[in-house]
Amino acid sequence: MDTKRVRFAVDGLDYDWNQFTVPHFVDHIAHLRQRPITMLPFPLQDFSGMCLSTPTQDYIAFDVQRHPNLQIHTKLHEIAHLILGHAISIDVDLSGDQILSFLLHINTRTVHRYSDPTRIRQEDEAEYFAFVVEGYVASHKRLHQLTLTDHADDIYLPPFTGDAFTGD
Amino acid sequence: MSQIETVHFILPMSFVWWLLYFTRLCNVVRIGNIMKMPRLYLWLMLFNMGIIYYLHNYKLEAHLQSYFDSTGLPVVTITKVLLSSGFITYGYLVVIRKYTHFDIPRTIDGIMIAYLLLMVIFCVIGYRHLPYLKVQIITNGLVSCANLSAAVSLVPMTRHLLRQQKSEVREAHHLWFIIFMLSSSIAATLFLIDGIEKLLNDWQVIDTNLYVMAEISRTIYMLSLGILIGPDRYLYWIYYPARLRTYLKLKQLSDSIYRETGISVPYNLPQPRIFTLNSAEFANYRVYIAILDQFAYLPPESALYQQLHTIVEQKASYPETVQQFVQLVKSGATE
Repeated sequence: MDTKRVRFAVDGLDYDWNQFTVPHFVDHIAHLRQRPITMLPFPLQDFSGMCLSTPTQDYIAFDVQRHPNLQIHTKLHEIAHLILGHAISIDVDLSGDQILSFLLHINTRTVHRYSDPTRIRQEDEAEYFAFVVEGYVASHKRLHQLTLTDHADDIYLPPFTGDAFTGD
Repeated sequence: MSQIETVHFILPMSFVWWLLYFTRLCNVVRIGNIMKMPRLYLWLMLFNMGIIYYLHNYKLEAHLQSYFDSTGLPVVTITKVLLSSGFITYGYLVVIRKYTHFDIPRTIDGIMIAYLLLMVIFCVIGYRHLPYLKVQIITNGLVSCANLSAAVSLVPMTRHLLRQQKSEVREAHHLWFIIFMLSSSIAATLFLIDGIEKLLNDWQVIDTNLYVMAEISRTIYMLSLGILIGPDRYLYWIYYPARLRTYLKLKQLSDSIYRETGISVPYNLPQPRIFTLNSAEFANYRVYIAILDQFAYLPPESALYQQLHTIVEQKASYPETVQQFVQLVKSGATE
């Protein structure tokens, strides 16, 4: 796996990590790629997610049966495939139903354990990409956006500390 | 006698305290509302804590008193008593009564005022008839008794508040406050024992082992106060040991999944670092995601799969799911 290439790709996103939320990040990627990204919550078998590129749109399908935290990670992983050029591309635009049928077709035909070295490398790279992105998110104190937990911006502690002290 | 001269760490720590205090005070003044009660009281109290931290040291107190010898009064000791037991201990109880829903019995007022008066009278009379060190030791003992009583009376309130907290930062505030209360109680107890020992044996040596330990405890409570008034990110350090323990448990679970599925770590990823709180949190998140991602490859008949499936299917929040994973490891499911 070429980790340098992946890191370069993440840094090349030129994203303000202080602003990170998943929708904001997806919008940023869509803006960079100059095409909308459609999220398809979908019950998948064996896969957490998959992505598809058409001439005018990108699609990311993710398994809604998985844990919500894993769904977020999956979105980042699939975005990685789009950015790193691994996504399956088709030359025609399909309707929503056709996209779902197409993804379902891929889903049922593909075995979940890859043996192809190229696929393994691509999965490694996408996972590394997600890892780097999540690392940036965490280092900018935005991990709660990935874990979907509350972030305590409001400081309170009667009768001794917190806003009683600082009024922050 | 201890090898450590307490003055050697009280003085630099005192300097650090004032630096932090004024930096944070400037911040509060900049934000505004400093004149609002109870904030005003709290900042004045912290100011007094800084003075008390200095004055509670026998050598520093005696050194300062030497400037007031001509008055014939133990000015420094009286100031110490009034600030410590009066403004800080009694004042704090009054503030709690006025600004929170916690009840502080009115009888405390009478007791504290009488106690303060007696201490001042003792200082004045004792200064004429006893060596100054004995006056210092006895007043320190009396102040320690008041501090201990106040700390004990605050235990139910602190426990109640801690249980109420929903967010981590508030919980962290309380935990540091508990450390403050504990270390100040330990310091008070050590002062008392050390004082009794010194009086009974008529020791002239100040820096005994017990006394050094008491001064270290005082330094710890000043440190916890410093963390409480500092930026919130420092509060979270209290969670580091817990985060590390969680990481080790999650790692054990994740390794167990890889072992049972017979696959090696599927992605050639670097291991996250765990040396800072932030990186430990991230490491926990990474292992957590790996568990969510990989457990599906366990054989469905596996006991571990079934237990994990039950947990994951609840789709509980991140902290709850992590907690359940940790409980699973503790129950021996991975052995």
